[in-house]
Amino acid sequence: MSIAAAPHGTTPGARTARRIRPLRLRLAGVGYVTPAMALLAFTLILPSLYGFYYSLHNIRYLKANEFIGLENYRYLVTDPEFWHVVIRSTGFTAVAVTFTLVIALSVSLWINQLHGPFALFVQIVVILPWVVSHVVGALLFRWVFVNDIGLGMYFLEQMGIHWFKPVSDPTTAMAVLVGFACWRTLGFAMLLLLSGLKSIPQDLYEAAHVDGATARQRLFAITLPMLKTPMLITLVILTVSNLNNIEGPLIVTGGGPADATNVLALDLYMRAFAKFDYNSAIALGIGMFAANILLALAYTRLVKSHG
Amino acid sequence: MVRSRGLQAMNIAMGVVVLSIALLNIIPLAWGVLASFKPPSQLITYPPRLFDFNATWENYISVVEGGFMNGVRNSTFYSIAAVALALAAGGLAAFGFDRFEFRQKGTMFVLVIASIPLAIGSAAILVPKFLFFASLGMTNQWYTLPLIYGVHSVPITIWTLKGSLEGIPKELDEAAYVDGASSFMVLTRILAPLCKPAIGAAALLIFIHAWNEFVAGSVMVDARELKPIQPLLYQYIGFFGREWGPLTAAATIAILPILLIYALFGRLLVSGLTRGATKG
Amino acid sequence: MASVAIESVRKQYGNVTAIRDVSIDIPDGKFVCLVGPSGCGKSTLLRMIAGLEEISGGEIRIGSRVVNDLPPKERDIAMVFQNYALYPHMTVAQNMAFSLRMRGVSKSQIDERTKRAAGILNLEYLLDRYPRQLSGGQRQRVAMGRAIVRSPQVFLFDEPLSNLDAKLRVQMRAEIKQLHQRLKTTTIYVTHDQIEAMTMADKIVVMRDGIIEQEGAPLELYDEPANVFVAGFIGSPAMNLIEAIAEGGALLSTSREALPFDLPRGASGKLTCGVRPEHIALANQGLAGQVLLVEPTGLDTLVTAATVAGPIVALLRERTSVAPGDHVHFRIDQKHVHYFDGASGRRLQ
Ligand SMILES: Nc1ncnc2c1ncn2[C@@H]1O[C@H](COP(=O)(O)OP(=O)(O)OP(=O)(O)O)[C@@H](O)[C@H]1O
Ligand SMILES: [Mg+2]
Repeated sequence: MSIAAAPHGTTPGARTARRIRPLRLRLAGVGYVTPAMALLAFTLILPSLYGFYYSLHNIRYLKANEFIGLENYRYLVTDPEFWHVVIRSTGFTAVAVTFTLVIALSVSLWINQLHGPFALFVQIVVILPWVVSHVVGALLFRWVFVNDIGLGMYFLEQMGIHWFKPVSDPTTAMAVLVGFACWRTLGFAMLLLLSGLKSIPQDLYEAAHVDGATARQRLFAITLPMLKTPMLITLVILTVSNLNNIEGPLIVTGGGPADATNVLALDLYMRAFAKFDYNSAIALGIGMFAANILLALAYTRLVKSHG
Repeated sequence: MVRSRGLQAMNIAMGVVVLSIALLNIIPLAWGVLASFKPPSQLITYPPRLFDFNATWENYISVVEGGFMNGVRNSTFYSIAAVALALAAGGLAAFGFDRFEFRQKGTMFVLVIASIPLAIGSAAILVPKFLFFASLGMTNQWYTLPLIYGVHSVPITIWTLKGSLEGIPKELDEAAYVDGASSFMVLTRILAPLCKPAIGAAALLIFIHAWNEFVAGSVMVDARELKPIQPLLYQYIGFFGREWGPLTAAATIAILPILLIYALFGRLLVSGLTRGATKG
Repeated sequence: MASVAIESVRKQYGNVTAIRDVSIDIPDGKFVCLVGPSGCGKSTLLRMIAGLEEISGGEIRIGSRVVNDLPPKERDIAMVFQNYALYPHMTVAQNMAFSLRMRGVSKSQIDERTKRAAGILNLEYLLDRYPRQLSGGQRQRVAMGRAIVRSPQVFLFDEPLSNLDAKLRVQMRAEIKQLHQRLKTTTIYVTHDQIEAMTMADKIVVMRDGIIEQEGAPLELYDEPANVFVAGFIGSPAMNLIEAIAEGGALLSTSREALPFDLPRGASGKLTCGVRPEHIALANQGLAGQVLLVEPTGLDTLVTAATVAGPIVALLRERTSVAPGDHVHFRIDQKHVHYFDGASGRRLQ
C-alpha cells in the first residue's frame, strides 16, 4: 500500500493500525458467514466426501473395511434390476415434471391476470399439498384415491370406470404415482412461475399494446420468452424434488405392484434401510448426488442470469 | 369492453381447471380430517358416507395412548430449535454476504445457492450422511435432527434474507455506524427489525420444513423417545395397517400446526415461498 | 469542537482515482462547503472524513488525532445524509436517541438531550411520529436533530437539501446557517448548488475530477476565480466566457473580429475573457448584438444576445422593453473583466 507514498509523517501507532483496518473489515464479513458455511460444510460437503471415500470400501457393520476400488459401483451397474429402476425413474420424473410444468404454466398465466383476494386464495389453496408433510399428503392421497373403498374409487365407479386398479395394475400404479407427484408439486411450481410473471416489466406490455399486438402475440413475443429462466428454474427444482422424493413411492404405492413403481429414491432407501445393503446403497447415493450436483450447477447458472 | 367469445370460453375452462385443482387439494385433507372422527365401523362402509356418522374421539384416544404425543413434543422442539439455528446462522451470513467484501465471497455464495437444490434433494446423501454421523457418534442424539433440519434450511434462509437486505439502503447502516453502532448492532438494531416480514416468512418455512421432514427423521434417530412426528406416523401405517381411523387421526394431529400457520400467515407464507427460489 | 486537517489525501477504487492529492485546512468552528460537478469526489471525501471509506493515502486529522484508521464511532462526528437515512422503525425521539444509546448514555440524560435538541429544531411535537409520517422538510430537520443531539466535534452534510423543493431549500438553508452560528460546530457541507455554498460557507472548496480547483471565502472566489472552471462554476447566472486571441495589440474573437475588451498587459495567443452578466449593461454603442431571449424574473431581467463574441448574457437591474430580434448594444465594465490563459485556463495577472 501507499504508506511510503504519503508525504506527511504519521505516528507509529497509526502506521500499524492502517494495516489492521482493512483486514479487520474483511474479517468481519468472513466472521459473519463462517457459522453458516461451517454448518453447510459439515452436513453437506463433508458427508458427501466421506460417502465417496466409503463407496470405495467394503462396508460392514457401518464401518469401512478393506479398499475395493469401484467394486460397489460395478456391483450396482451390473445388477439388471438397477437399470430398470433407472429407466423407470427417468420416465416417471420426465412425465411428472412435464405435466406439472404445463398445468402450472397455464394456471399461473390465468391467475396472473386476476387480482385481489381471489388470486391469493387460489395461491393458498394450490400450495396446500406442498406445505403439508409428504407423509400425510401421501397417506391421505392413498386413502382417498387408491384405497379400494375410498372416495375416488367410488366416484370412478359411479362414472362407470372400472379399469382403475392402482393396487394390482402396474400402469395404473405408475399413473397414480405421477398423479401424486403432480399433486404434490403443482402449487410450488405455480408460485415460482407466478413470481416470474410478476417480475416482467409492465411497460413491455403497454408498449406492445400501443403497437397493436394481440393477446396471443403478447403471450408468444413477451411473456413466454421473458419467462424462460423462471421456467427452467422451476424445471430444475421439480426434477430434483421428484428424483429424490421417497415418501411418494414409499407410501402411495410402496413400489408395487411387484416393482412397477420402484424408483431410484425408494430403491436407495430400501437398499440401505430395509435390506441393509450399504455397499450398493452408497454407490447409488453417490451417483444420485452427482446428478443432483449437475442440477444444482444448472440452478446456480439460471439464478445468476435471472438475478 | 367487449370480450371475445374465445377469451370467455378460455376463462371458463381455466376456472374449471383451477376449481378442480382446488377440490383435489382440499378433498383429501378434509376427507381425512372427517374420517378421523368416524368410528371404525363407519369407515369401512361402501359407498363412503359423508356426514351421517356418529362423531367420536376414540381414534384420537387410541393414537394418544399409543404415545403419539411424544412425537409431537419432539417435533415441536426440533422445529423450534431448527428455526433458531437456521435464522441465526442464515441471518448472520446474509448480512455478511450483502454488506461486506471479503475474499472468495463469490465462490462461497455460489456454494450457498447450489445448496438450495442439494438440500431439496438431500435424500441422495442420506446414506453417506448417516454413516458419517454414525462414525462421529452423532446419530441418536437430541441435537441430531435440529442440526440437520436447521442446516437444510440455511441456504434458502440466506437467500431470502439477503434479498430482503438488498432492499434496505446502505445509508442506514452508515448512519448507524456514524451514530456509534458496531456492525453487530447495525444488524440487530437496524436491519433485523426492518427485515421482519422476511424473517417471519423464513421462520415459517424453516418450521414447516422441520416439522414435515420424514427421511432423516426416520434414519438418523432410532430411539423411540427421540422420534419426530412424521416417522412415527409412518410407523403407524405399518402398525395400524388398514385401520384408517387412528391413521387419519394421527395425520390430522400432524398437519394441525401447519394448518394453523396457514390460517394465520397464509399471505406471508406464499410470499416467502415465492421469494425462495426466484428473486421476486 | 475541533479543527479538521486533510493532507494529501487520495482515494483509489481499483483503477479509478476518485480523489487525488487533496489538502484542506478547516479551522475550528468554521463552515466549509465542498462544491463541484457531479462525480468530482465530494461525497467520497466526506465519507473518508466520516470513516465510511478507507483512505488510500494521506492523512486526516480531527483535532490533534489522526483518524485514518479509526472506525466512524470513534471519530466523534455526525453526518446528515442526502436521503436523511432515518431509521424507519424508530420514532423521531428514538432516532435522535440512538447514538446516545449506543454510547451508553443514561436514560435520563438521553431524555434531556433529546428534548433539548428537539427544542432547538422545533421538533417537540413530532417526537412520537415515525419517519414515514413526516414531510420532507420535517425529515430533514429530524436528520439534523439526530446529528446535533450528541454535540459532536464535526458535522458532515452530504447534499442535505437536494431532495427538498426550492422554497423549503431556501428556508432550511437559513436554518442550517443559524444553527451553525448558534452551535459553532465545525461543519463540512457538500453541495452541488453553488448558491447554497455562497450563502452559507465561511470557506468554499471547489473540486473537479478529484482535485481542488480553488478554495477561499465565497466572495474571494466570486471576485477572483483562479481559473476558467471556477469562474464558470461560481455565480448564477454564470459568467460569460469568451474565447479570444491576442494579436497585434488587439483582442480578436475566434472569428477574428475586434472585441471590446482591453488587452491585458503582456498577453499573447489564446485567452478566455470572462464577464459576469451583472457587469454588462445596455448602451447606445459598444458590443452589438441581436436579442435571442428575454427572461424577466421580476427583480431583474436576463437578456441573451448573439454577438461577435458569441451568445452573451446580461443581467439588467431595471425593467426593459427589449424583445427577441431587437438589435442592441452592450457596455462592458472593463474593471470587471477577467482574463484566463487559453491553454491552462489559469487567471492572468
Ligand atoms: N464504490 C465505488 N467504486 C468505484 N468508483 C466509485 C465508487 N464510489 C464512487 N466512485 C467514483 O468516484 C468518483 C467520485 O464519486 P463521488 O460520489 O464522490 O462524487 P460526488 O462528487 O459526490 O458526485 P455527486 O454530486 O453526483 O454526488 C466518481 O467518479 C465515482 O464514479
Ligand atoms: Mg455525492
